[in-house]
Amino acid sequence: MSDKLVIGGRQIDSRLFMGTGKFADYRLIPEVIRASKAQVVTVALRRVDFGTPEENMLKYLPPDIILMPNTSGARNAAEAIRIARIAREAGCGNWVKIEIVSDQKYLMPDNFETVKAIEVLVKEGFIVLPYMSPDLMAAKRMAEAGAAAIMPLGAPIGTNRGLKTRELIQILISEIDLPIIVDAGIGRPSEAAEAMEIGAAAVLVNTAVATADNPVLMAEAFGLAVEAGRKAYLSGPGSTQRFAEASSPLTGFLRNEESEK
Amino acid sequence: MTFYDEILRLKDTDYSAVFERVTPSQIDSILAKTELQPLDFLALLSPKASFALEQIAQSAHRLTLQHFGHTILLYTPLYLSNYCVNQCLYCGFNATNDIHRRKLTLPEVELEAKAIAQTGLQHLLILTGESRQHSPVSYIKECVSVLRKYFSSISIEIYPLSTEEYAELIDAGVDGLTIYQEVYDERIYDQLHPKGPKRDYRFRLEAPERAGQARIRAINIGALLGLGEWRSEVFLAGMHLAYLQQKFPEIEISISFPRMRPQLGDYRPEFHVSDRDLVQSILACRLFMPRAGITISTRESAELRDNLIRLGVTKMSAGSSTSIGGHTDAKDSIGQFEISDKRSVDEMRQTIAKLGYKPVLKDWHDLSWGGKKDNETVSIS
Amino acid sequence: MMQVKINGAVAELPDNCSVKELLLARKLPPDVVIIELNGEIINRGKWESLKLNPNDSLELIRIISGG
Repeated sequence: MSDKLVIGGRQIDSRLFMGTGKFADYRLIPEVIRASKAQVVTVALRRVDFGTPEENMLKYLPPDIILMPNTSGARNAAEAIRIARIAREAGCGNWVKIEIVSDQKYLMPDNFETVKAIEVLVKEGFIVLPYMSPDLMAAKRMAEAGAAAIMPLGAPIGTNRGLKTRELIQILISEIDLPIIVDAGIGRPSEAAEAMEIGAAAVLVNTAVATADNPVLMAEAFGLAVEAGRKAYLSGPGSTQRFAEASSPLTGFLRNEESEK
Repeated sequence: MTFYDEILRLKDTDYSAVFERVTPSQIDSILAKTELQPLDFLALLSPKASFALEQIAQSAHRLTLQHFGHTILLYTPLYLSNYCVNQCLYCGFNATNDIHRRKLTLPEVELEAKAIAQTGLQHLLILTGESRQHSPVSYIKECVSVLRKYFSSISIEIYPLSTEEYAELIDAGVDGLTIYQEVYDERIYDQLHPKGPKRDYRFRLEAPERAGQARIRAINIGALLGLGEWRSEVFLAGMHLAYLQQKFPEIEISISFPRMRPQLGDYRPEFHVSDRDLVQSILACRLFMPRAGITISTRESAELRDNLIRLGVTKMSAGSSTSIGGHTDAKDSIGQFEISDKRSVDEMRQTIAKLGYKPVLKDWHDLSWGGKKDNETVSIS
Repeated sequence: MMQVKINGAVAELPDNCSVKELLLARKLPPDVVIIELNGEIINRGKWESLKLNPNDSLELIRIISGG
């Protein structure tokens, strides 16, 4: 039984997605990515800052990774769409993580605007992975709009509080037939493992690694935790029902009996 | 305060009213709970719950794995004597039945023991009819001292004793008690036990508690399904189990679901208990009492027993015989009931293993045994 | 000199300034920057030839780290 993650037609071997933000030094990034074994890496777009000398961030990324530019900064669908197009033009590939946040206090994503952005971008051939607040109906709309995966937050961005939204994420995992990638809020490898154990397809981690005392070691820890969590999920009692096709009913042998009173 | 007080309290339970109110979503929420209340247990025994049987089975299966893993304990019964003074209408050993009465001598007991021990089994259940003349406590004690050399665990399924008598047997090496109330409905009980000491409903009902006070290690109870209306009977048996667990938290409790089988005599059970009903009973008990053992004897067919393994059963008999001396010579000896599953211990072990479970032959070793007697070594060739 | 909006702020640029000249003047390595002129992304190949007009609105964007 193969356990492969396929998104947008591409096979992803690592279920840990790595964010590149908040690092003290760009030079850590390639080591971090290597230690984590992450294959999908997020980047962002910003206006050039004339005051600071510009480094080309892309040169710090290994050549064989999948770039996932995010639309952070966008406050509505139109802005997110624009950023996605720019990113593609810039050579970032056609993956995009939609991140639409107009709430500056908690950085909660706007599910409604996100649906609109997905609708447009999918038609333009993007592989869209929306970052969202775990609401089942919103996720359904996003799936209908053509999203390639759903990325519910575990806890608000940067808070490192773990799977505060665990119950809601579990509902998405049960009900939505797309990879569910937990994004935001994961502060510890054990939390990443937890997300994987309950059936997440992958997790995206950024702050926890970037702000660790030893980001490279932490990245390695996360990589291992995601693997462990996935294996636990595959070997757990629930998974035998997913993979053992229409798992053998326990009371099927009673079928021929007439039911009593 | 004994379980009899509980029986009185539960006497007026309006089962139909409870069953009427059961809904599918109630079943869902019961299955989501970690600790079931008596009313939840009763709902799971309702006719409506029968429609959700597969769903309930999945829960029970997982719960059993959690608490017991993939193990099934094997044991066998040894009938020491079928002398009996009672006239229970439903029993093959009824005093009025004209059968060959026999009681094993100690050398015969030893032969039986050797034969059984050969199979590897270490858990034994010894049974007698009720006769303080032919199979008094002293006789049972002597048998136990022989058997102790061969088996690491000996349970008794005999007539109810006093606390002191239980203590005596425990001292001799008995570590488990099996006693079925037969039928919890007192009115039906009176009808089925017209003569003999077994008429005393309360004395029998309170036997497990006396054994508990005597510090027995394990207690197994149950109702003989078919004698009374099975849903209420299983409910009361389950409540009995819960009561015992509450009162004696250190005791290993378990429940059996003996179903009336053809036996000598005119009695035919009044209530029909289908395979589905039996399954529902087992599942409901498993969910109500997650840590209680569940035993299935060879009254049931091989096929049914195999299917029950994944439904919450933790203990099964193997290589059984219900006749006296049945493990060595079974000539013209009528058993207490007809055995359905006639497989040998080896066959059982193989079947269990094939189903993905591990057959366990020895689960217990009493280190304190032998402290007061000569420490004879166990020899099993 | 003409007025051109760059990243939302008004700037004074020499007439007929090309995009490439602008980048040089601001010391911006071309491989880092993405140019959006009046809402349209401009292909790198056109930077040298494309001349800016008064009141053009330019967005200079780069890829940075992000989560």
